[in-house]
Amino acid sequence: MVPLPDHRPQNLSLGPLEAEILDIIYDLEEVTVKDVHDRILADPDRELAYASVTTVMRRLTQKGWLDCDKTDRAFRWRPRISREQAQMLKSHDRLKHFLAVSSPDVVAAFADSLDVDSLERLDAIAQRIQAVRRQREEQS
Amino acid sequence: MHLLMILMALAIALGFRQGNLNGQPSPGLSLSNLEQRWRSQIVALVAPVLLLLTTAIAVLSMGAQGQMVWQGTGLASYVISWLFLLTALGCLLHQGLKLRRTLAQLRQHPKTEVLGYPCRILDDTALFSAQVGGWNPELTITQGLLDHLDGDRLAAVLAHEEGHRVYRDTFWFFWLGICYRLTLWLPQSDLLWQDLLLLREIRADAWAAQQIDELLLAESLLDVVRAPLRSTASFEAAFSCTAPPSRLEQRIEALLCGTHPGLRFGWQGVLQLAWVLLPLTIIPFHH
Repeated sequence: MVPLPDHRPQNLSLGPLEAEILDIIYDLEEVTVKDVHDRILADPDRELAYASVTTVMRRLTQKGWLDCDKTDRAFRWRPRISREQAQMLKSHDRLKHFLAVSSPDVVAAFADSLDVDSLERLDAIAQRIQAVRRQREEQS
Repeated sequence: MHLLMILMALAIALGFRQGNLNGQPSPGLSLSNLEQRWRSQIVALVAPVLLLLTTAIAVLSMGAQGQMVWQGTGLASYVISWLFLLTALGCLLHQGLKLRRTLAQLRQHPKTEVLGYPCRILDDTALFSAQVGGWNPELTITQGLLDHLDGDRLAAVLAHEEGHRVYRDTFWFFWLGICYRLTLWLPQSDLLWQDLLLLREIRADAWAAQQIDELLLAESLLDVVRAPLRSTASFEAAFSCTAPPSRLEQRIEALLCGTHPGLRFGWQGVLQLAWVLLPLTIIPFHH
């Protein structure tokens, strides 16, 4: 599984055009506005102004999805989190939303946020379990 | 007089909670310790609410009229009692509606059977499983959990959830949750609530350990907690090494030391609660 990223876009919900453009950026990894525009217009049935692509990409940057490299003459944009991480964040959000409408009284979970521990402690617990398992295997 | 009764009930509720704090049962994991802790924490959470309820009922059934030093006091106690009863009723309704909404939302997801357990599958990559509902809860599992755990570990998780079902945890904790919410202003409410939630998990773990290997269950628990899909905020609240044993540590420790508490409240617990009926015994003496 992919860990949750350190960075989190401020707004996870995306409009259809935003989602489409983000998808193209994920495919191409690093893009200029022209790359995205060309890719969309590769479909002969599509029409989209160059300026609209620029606007959407600026909006995606504002929402925290993209980084813009302005050192070159042509601005280059790249995603701030991977496609998998984005999926993970969305799924995490959905689950949190589901749980927000309920509470531990009526949701008896196997493990919940109360069981989350620091990484050192988790290691210590893992070692304790391993020790018991080893001990058991030696006995048998 | 009636106002005095209410003030007395409030003082007793407060004193009872404070007294419970001083006489906290030891946190040891032996069977008798856990049984005693379970009973005393429930009594400490529930008794103040029941005492205030019986006092309010007693005051209301005696009415605003009667013999009292100052007529205004009667009205005040009457209003306060009504307010408390209405608050309790409002809280019950609110929680009931919330549960209904959650269940309605849950029932939109497909029902299927996993390892012989009927359950709802949430199409989600998170590792999550829970019993959701009241007396007859619905087992809820995410697709992520099904994908992540192998057959044996999945069986361990499902056995734990079955434990919650056998003990009707969601039903009893619905009511305990109402007591908790009604006494948030009293000391120790949160501590008692968290401890009861922990004991409930230890009991479900213990039930599962009777069906499957406890070591396997401990490993599954660690696996699910370790899986990266956790709220980052919780990770930031990391414990220092000197912090008291965490909830996870206590659960694993209880599993590994092999005590299998059934945690019954029983008649002993009911008797410990009987004194809250005292305000009702005053009614016949009212003129």
